[in-house]
Amino acid sequence: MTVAVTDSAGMQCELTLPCVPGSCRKARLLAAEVCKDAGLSPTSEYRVLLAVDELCQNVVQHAYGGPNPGASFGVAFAARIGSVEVTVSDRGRGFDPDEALSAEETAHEGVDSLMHLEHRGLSLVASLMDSRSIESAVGGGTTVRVHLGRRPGDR
Amino acid sequence: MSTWVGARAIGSGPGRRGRAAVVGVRELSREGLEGVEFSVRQVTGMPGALVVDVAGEVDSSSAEQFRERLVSLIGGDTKHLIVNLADLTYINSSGLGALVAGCKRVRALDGTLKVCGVRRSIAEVMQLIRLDKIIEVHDTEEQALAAL
Repeated sequence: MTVAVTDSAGMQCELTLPCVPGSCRKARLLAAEVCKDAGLSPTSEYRVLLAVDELCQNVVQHAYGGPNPGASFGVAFAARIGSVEVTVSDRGRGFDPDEALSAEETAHEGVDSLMHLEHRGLSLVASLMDSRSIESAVGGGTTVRVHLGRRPGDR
Repeated sequence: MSTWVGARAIGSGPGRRGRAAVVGVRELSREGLEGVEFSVRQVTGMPGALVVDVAGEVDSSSAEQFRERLVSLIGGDTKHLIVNLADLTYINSSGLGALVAGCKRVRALDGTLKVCGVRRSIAEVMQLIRLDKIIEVHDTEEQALAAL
């Protein structure tokens, strides 16, 4: 389900998706539309798409212990010209953000970390976007919010 | 069954940017993965080198197959890969990870993996996340072949 609102504050839309792999592509397609409406350059758009894909993959793989068509998660976009904010939220099992980030960093350090892109999702998202915040608690679901602002080449 | 297509001019179509101007090629295989077309060419006069054309989108539904297919090409007589991404519209982190896995594999054989024709947005993000430190990126297939 998609809800889209455009007003003086910009454009906002929200998608509720089942926790299955195919949902990542749906979120990515909507992200592409939002980025185009916000006038992002192709490079900024690709950064957002990769981040959305990564965050949705995290939900599908980890939030409910694997794909679960009976569970859902939300992807919300808030955009204005040259800027996009994405919020991905679930009500899954949650995690300790500090522990997860620390585990990502120490598992693959330096150049070796580049060899394991798929195991450093949160770090990758941080390097793609201007800001990233994580609210999560074990058993309490997770909300990750990321933002990318204006870059050279954006409208 | 493989097909000889001989020396041919390629690079004229809009989706063919990054291809070599004229090369001797032998198409070895062409297959469709989930949302991705994957084809392999042998370059005449360059033993041990293959060119892989990847078209479409590499995402969560195809990344694992892409990785397996790419890595399976390496070994035996093959230790150099040119991966032509001229017709690739999207690649996720697992797909980029597959290229890195291919890189590791050829390096273990003292070979190389080079990427060419990649669209600017993808190339810039590869730089941003420092993948260009691992994967050699060339504008065109011709340049990548010349660097072998």
